[in-house]
Amino acid sequence: MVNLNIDGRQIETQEGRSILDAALSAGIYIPHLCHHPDLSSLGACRLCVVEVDGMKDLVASCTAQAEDGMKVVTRAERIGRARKLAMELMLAGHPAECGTCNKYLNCELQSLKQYLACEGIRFRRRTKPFPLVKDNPLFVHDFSRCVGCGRCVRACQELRGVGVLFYKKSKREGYIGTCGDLPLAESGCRFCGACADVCPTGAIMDKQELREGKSRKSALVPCTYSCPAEIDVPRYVRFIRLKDYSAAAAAIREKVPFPAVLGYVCRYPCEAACRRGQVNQPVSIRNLKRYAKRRLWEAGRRRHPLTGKKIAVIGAGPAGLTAAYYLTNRGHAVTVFESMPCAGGMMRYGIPEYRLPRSVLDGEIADLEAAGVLICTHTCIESTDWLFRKGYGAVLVAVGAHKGKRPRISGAECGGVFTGVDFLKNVNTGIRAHIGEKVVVLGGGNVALDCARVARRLGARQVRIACIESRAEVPADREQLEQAEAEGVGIDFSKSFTRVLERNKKCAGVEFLDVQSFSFDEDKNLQLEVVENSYQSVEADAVIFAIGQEPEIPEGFGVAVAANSRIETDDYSLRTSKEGVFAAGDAASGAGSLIEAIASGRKAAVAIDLFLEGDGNIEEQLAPIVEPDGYLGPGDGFASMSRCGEACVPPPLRWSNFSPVLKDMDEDAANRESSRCLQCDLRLGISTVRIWGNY
Amino acid sequence: MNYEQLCAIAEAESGYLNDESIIKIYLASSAGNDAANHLCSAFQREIERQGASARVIRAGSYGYYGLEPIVVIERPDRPAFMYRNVTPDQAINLIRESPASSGAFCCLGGENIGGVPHVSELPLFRFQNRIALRNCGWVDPENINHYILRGHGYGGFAQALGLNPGKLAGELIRSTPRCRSGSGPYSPENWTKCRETEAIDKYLICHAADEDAGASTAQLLLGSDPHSVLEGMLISAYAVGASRGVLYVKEGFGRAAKIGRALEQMRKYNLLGDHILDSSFRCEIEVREVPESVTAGDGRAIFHTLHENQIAPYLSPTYPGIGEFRGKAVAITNAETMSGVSAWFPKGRASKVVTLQGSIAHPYRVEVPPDTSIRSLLEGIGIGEAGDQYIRAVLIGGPAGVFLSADSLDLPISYIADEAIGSNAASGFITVFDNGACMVEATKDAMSYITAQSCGKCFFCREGSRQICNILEDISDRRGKPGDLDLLMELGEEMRVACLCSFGKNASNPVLSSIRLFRGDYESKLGGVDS
Repeated sequence: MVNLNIDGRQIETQEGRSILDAALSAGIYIPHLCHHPDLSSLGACRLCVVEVDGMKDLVASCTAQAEDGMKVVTRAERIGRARKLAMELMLAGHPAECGTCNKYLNCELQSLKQYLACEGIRFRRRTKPFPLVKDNPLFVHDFSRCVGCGRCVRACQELRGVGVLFYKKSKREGYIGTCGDLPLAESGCRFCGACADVCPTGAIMDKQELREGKSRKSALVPCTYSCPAEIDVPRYVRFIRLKDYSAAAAAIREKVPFPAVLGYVCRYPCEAACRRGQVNQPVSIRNLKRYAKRRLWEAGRRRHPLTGKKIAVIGAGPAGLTAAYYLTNRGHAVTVFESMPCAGGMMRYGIPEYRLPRSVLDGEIADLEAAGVLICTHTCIESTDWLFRKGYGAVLVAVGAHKGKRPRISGAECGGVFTGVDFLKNVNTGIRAHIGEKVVVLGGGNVALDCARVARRLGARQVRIACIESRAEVPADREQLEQAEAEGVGIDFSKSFTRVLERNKKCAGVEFLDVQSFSFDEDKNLQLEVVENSYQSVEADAVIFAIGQEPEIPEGFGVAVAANSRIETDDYSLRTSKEGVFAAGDAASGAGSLIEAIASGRKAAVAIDLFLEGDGNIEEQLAPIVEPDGYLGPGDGFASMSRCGEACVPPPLRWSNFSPVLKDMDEDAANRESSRCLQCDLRLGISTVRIWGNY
Repeated sequence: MNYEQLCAIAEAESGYLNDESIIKIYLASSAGNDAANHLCSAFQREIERQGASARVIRAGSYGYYGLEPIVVIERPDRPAFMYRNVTPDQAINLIRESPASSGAFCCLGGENIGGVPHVSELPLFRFQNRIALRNCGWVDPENINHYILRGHGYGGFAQALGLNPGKLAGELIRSTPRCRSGSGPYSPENWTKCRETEAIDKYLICHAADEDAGASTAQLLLGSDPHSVLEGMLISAYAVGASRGVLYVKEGFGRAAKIGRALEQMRKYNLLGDHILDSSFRCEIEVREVPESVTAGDGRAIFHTLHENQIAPYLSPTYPGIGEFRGKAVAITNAETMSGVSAWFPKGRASKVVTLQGSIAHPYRVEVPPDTSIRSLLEGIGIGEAGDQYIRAVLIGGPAGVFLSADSLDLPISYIADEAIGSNAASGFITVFDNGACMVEATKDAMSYITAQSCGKCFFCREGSRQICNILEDISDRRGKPGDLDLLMELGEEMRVACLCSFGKNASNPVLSSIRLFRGDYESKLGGVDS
């Protein structure tokens, strides 16, 4: 240890640390700009100069080592003069107007300017002749704001080992650029964002549209924070890159009890948000998840001691099972009641088998049962009071939304007309529907596509989908749409159906009108503008309505139900109007995605555990915590690495059977795809500079 | 292969150099001189036409740029003559039997033949003591045999291999004048420290990308006599115990490729690799281009390229060459010193390469003893007798040097490298300003050059020199403001402390020295606003 005196205070610090570090950690603020806690010190900006007893010149405290017996003064007239000179020099080439800068109030330079009370500038002011560059993905460069502190250069070189940023000069002015001034993507940049993170001014910034209205975390690691269950995507992708597949599987499993199912059918909001998508295409995250889940993860979970409390979950769908799993982990005795013969809910009775092999689902449910979740199938619960009487301390209603909507149009009730939910449930339980040769599906969501593709597999020769949305607006997943079209499903966009044509009380066709545009009014009622007299019709032996579904809540549950048939819940606690009864999943929020249902189940588990006087902490740690290696190395060709997307079985091999459509990736492809990840989470590990107001 | 065998091969391949029965035509010019190319073909044609027994030797530059192409003709029957600014038309006459003295610049043997002065009578040669530049203009830089045959090239190295490295290092340090090597990082005292450090990897770095582009002694040497530098590197590497040599050259003009060819020739002669000249000494020399991003900076910055792809002006608490730099011990030197080492081994004679420029009749690069005074050098070679009346000031040490007024010209050349004046050591650059010169303009020009040269990595050097430039431009345009001179002095003094490398620390030299010496020039431009 080293003892030195700073401003009359005796300070102890470790050997080898700089005077600046010693002072800052003792709470003595010394202004500094080119210094960053994670980077090597440069001593270039001279804002951190101090007086050291016995030395003639002022020294930069960031590069001067603290030595035993040293006497340091951080405030003196001479020091102030030197700092001011440095600041004036810096500001002379920096835009005077702060208010218009996106870094305003977040700017270290601005804070230092205020700290040094630097108003008048004796030097010649000038504007650096560099344009605003928005052409690069993710980042905006404005080197007219650059003060040349070189933090980005050091971060790129020292922290990341990428080394594509250089000090450059043009027109007698310094700026930061790549070799040959190539665009970032061609320079070998890895788009890790370290440069933007350490920049003390507005010279290198994240694109405003990517940050606006978002917290730092959700803007910087959007994959994780766009995931309703907040799966730590960069972490498991990193495990895959390091070929530790079971750790990858475990990392996913920490947040969701259905990782393998998600690997097949997740609607991956993460990929839409993936920052790699700004560079070329997003990382194929779901594909990697499915790859990781082919490996077993070591069950290292820890079950809390039994609490002696009983919980009933009504409905063994994703929300119910998820909640049941986490509550079981918390030490509660959980029974899941399921009216159907098998557990799984929509995963089993909604999603067709070619999208989700049943063995995968069965495996994961078995896993939950092994963890202690008790599932009673064939059990229809009509009353929550009955459950309370049976000794359950809390009830979670997670019955899903299984009632298909039918429009109020002529012919909607005649023979050969189905709702999508019923149709799929029948097929999935082995009841053969008679659909004939020609099938028309009405609706533009994933369910409509499922119905059409199932109809195709059941032997219908001509399957058409009609929806009011245009191709660009259609809510179904792009991937599903492409697969359906490849299987010969015809899609008529921008059609409004006016009636089902009847012949002998059986449907014979559908009549359409072309849609000009549509919107929803304040009450979420559809407002259609159709092309007048654009009537047309197609023949149909069967018509399937896939225009939405809603929950069916028995009165005996005793909970308040909103006009849209959903259970009224408190957004935060998921409590219903009845004490001790909670609701989660589609029953509470209407038809949503699988991952939303899982996230809702997690939320319910927390709420119920808290209700039962637990601490509500359901977090598990199944994969090892590994400090990621931020040293990425040179990234030549990194930006152009193309996405290894989902590969499908060729269409002729799919439309006659229910075997899986998606092909699995091999190890090489998985490693390659995982190495495309920008590792945005590394940025959260970069220290934040504390400005003077924080001392 | 030992040294004798090596000489035998050289003799067998290029014996014409020592053949006294043929005419030898030494054609000297800077690389890429078109006039010299035409001249060369004119000579070849004429030799063929006459069927003369003659040989053209395409040599590099002497450093007398205004006199090029320079031709020296050695004939069996008469003393050698030197001719300047030779044209192709002249070439025909030179080979013919016309009087050799006609149009000759000087004769190299005999004395005063036909009114042509002997070389020792011309001030240009009388003042000089060419050691580092000894072969410049006399050897084909692309041919190692020339270097070997002229003055026993690599003989000094062969001898050095028989000596104790420690003693040799001491000898080199003793015989290397400070003004040659410069002080600070380049100081030969650091060689001992590198030698005594226990490190596995030891490097000898020759920084031949001159800090000061105006001086570019290294470029003259590498272009005209690369082996003198490379032999010096071998001797020094042996002395400091380095097995790796790195020669840094500026990017472009195929410089690195030329050195690469020279290294290949060395390898052929067993002068690189293992068991050099049948000894146990092992050494590899590589050539590297100084990256585009480095336009200036001191030798310290160059270390970073050993590890990283970008040179950063980091301050090191202790100078890395002294001891270890990330596990590697390094000794750093420059091209002029290395060429000197290969020449004055084992006994040293002092001299210094100086570049004369500015308001001057003869902008030459010459090599003179360090005790030559600036005045005598200028009067002798540069401007003639006008002397005191003619000269207003000189800028010594390159653009980042200091101004001296006419009454300080009795200082010796060695003073240029003296740390006391803080000028850019070892650049040997003297720019003359005549009586009509405005020192504000002179300083502005110097600072403008510095602004362009600043590598831009260090804040105070980049922004400071830029501001000084802007303020000087304002003063020059009579737009100066009250307080400008004080501001220039305050900023200039701060830069001496604040800049990270020696270039930056010296960057404000011109403005500081110029204001001190010639304040009147500034005040008249400021028109009283500053008084």
